[in-house]
Amino acid sequence: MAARVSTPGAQKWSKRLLFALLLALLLLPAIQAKFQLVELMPLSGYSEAAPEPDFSPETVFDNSYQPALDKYLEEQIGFRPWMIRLRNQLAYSVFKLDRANNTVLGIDDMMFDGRAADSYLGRDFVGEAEIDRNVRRFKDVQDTLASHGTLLVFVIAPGKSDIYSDMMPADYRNAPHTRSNYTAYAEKLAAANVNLLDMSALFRHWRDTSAYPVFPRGGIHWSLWARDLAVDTLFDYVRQRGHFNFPDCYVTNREVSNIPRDTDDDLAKVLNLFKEPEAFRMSYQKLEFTPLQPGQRKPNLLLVGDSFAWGIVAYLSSVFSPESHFWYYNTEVQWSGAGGLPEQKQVNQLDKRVELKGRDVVLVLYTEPNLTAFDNYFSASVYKAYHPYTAADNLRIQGIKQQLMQDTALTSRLQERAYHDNIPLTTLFEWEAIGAFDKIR
Amino acid sequence: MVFSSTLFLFYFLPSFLLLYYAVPARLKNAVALLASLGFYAWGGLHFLGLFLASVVVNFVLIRYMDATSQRSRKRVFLLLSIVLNVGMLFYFKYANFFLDNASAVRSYLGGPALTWEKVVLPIGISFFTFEKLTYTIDVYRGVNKPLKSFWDFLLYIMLFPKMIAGPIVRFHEIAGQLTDRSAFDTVDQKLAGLFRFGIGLAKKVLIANVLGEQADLIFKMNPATLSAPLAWLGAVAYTFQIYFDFSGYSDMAIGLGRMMGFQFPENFNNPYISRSITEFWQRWHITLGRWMRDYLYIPLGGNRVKPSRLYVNLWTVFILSGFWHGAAWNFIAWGAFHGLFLVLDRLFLLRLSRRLGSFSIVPTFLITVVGWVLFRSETLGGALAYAGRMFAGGTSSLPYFTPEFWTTLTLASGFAFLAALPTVERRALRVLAAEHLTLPRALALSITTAVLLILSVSYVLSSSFNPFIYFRF
Repeated sequence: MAARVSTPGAQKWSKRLLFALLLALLLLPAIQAKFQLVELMPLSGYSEAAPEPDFSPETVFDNSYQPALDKYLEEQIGFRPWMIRLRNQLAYSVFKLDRANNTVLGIDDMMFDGRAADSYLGRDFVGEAEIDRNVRRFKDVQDTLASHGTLLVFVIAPGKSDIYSDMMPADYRNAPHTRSNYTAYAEKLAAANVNLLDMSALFRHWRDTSAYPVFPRGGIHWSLWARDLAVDTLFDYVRQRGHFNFPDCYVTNREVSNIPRDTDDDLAKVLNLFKEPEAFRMSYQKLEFTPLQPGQRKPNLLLVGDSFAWGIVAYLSSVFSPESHFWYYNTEVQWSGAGGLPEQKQVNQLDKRVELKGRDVVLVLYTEPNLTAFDNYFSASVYKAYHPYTAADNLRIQGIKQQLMQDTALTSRLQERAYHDNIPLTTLFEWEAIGAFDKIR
Repeated sequence: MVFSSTLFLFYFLPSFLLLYYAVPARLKNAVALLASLGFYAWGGLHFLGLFLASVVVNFVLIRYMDATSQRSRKRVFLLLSIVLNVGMLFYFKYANFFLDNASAVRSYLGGPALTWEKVVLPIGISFFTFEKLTYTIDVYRGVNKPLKSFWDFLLYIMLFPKMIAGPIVRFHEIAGQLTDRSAFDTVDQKLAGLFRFGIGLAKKVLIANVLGEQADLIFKMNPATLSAPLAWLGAVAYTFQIYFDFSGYSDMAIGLGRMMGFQFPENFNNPYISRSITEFWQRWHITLGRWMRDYLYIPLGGNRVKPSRLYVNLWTVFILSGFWHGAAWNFIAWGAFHGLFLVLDRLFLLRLSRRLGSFSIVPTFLITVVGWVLFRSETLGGALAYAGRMFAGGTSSLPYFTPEFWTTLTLASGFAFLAALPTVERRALRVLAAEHLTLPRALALSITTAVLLILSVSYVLSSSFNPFIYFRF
């Protein structure tokens, strides 16, 4: 056993101070969590927050409270944004790594969405049969709507990985590149005479000719500069294809800056660094529209699309009527030309025939990587609205239902849902069967 | 509760330390015991009653054993205590294993498979059972008198820093400290303890977890799809992961102990610079090795038996050691694998390694790498298939791994092998075992501790934060 070593008083007190400081270091995060002494910039990106756990003897005894509290405290602890930014900054600065969910850091710090990169390489290819079916149904819907005086257009928004494939990291550049959903849809939609605006093809051209980059370094979406080019092109397309006469646009307030705006650094932000990578020098301008002239009118538009569609929403009210709507991911009504939102926002609860009646234009806009789900069931649901099930269809649905009822994993999942949502189990199987049938119809 | 969790680092540990330092010496054991009970109950509330009951029974049995003067009666109490402790371990840890195997044999013979409710393993049972046994046997052997206070005994078993994953502290190593720790109650010990804790946390979080992520990916792959270089890379990554993980946990336990005035035994001593498997077991999980030697190998006859018996004993001890690590055939195979090399050491390998000098570090390391494949795989069949790929030959190029992984692997190798240089080993020992710190050294240690803590915490907190760019339906 070692003998106790005494130290001179001053040294001892200095060491005690050091130890106290280290203890304070351990205490500070909990104090900050409670009192928020320092204001910190919140972290960017979307993640499910852990709920505050319910404390009760039951939850403690069945051991569900403890891990839930662990998780909750981890998210609430003070200085968490700093700690996470420190880790991310180290990974980025030392190893050129990004730690956001499914992002890829390419050459010259060009950032990509990992899902889009996989999609470009054809890793999520859904198969020719499914694509043929979707294209056939979309064309059918296009023809049906045309007979009611509605122009339906499919717009493929560009994928950054496709346009800047040469700037992806080596492991992606050297990976096998097979047929992608984009390639197949672009080819088959055009061949089926679907009203198609293939922005990807345009962007590949613009990349070489445009004065500014068509995608920002730190953004997942088209650059604001290229977005405006796309809006101008899209409105021209609608004007010509639908024989509409609506206001023209012109550019004002042009500024050149290397401070990214709006979505031009949405990927960079989600890296959650102390210092974002330097952005490309970009032109930022405003599109203005000429006032409505005699003989002009604002068409009634339904826009259905993913986050790229948000880029054009800002301009819609200048060109389209107040009855116009935006269905985000064909799931929720998230914009209305009249301002405010309808009471029923869930798209699956809307009567499609009523919603489409009186529309002049329906734009369906999805970006390349989202083509795995094609148009998120939009054309299928409209097709169903105009072509109700036949007796043969119902028979097939019942057949599928019987098959699904043999699936034990599905049964247990649906039993749980039936109990939770108070819906008869047989109804849930019916819904599942209808969903499966609609996919192959 | 895990040492690297937010709850432990920022709530439990600082609150406990503040209270522990604030109370007078006579109340420190009570504070430590309450904290340990809370620590255990956090993850094992179900088992707390059973666990406490077993400690009470063990304590009473040993009191009776000590009170009696008859050797035969002492032996009865000894056996009762051993049966109680080993019986509990056997039931909780091995019942599923034996029933699984019995069921498999029954199915093989055409009978229906057995069904039973799976037995849940109480946290830390392997470690605290061994500690209870050392108390029993040390008192029986007369090495120590039994503790007068039940609470001190409970504290010995439950002391939270070492309860879940060791080091296995033999009773006689800590008996005196349970009642008087004033000799180690210095600010130097506390600073050094916190430094050691920081080192351990960094080893686990900055090295083991980073390597573990990739090792997990490789071990999850179908062995048939693995190229030889990839299989070796996975095995080597796991080799360093398990070392930095386990030794990091031991460092944290030792450091926490020092902050409380306890001196726990060392558990690791640069095992990958060993020149033979015999030496490896003197450097790897040292407290388990000592336990096995003192309470199993020596009672079996130790070295004082004829060679053939000695080899059988060695092998038996290592097979049991493997079985102690996990109730599965691959752990038994891992124990047998190491036992085999210990026997071969005695037969001829030690002579060969002496001739090779420091070069024998390489083959010894490779043997341990292969051994870890048995340890890491989910099944014995999986382990053999994986090992088969390692020796299948071929030079296909490796898939992409991040520069962070390669840098961490290089650092881990550096830290693990640098101690082969005697000056480095001596210096590391001086830093870790220092009992008196000059002010500049205390300052350097404190700064290093702060940096390691901040870095480790940043890794811990960011590991569960992977945001999506946007909410998608």
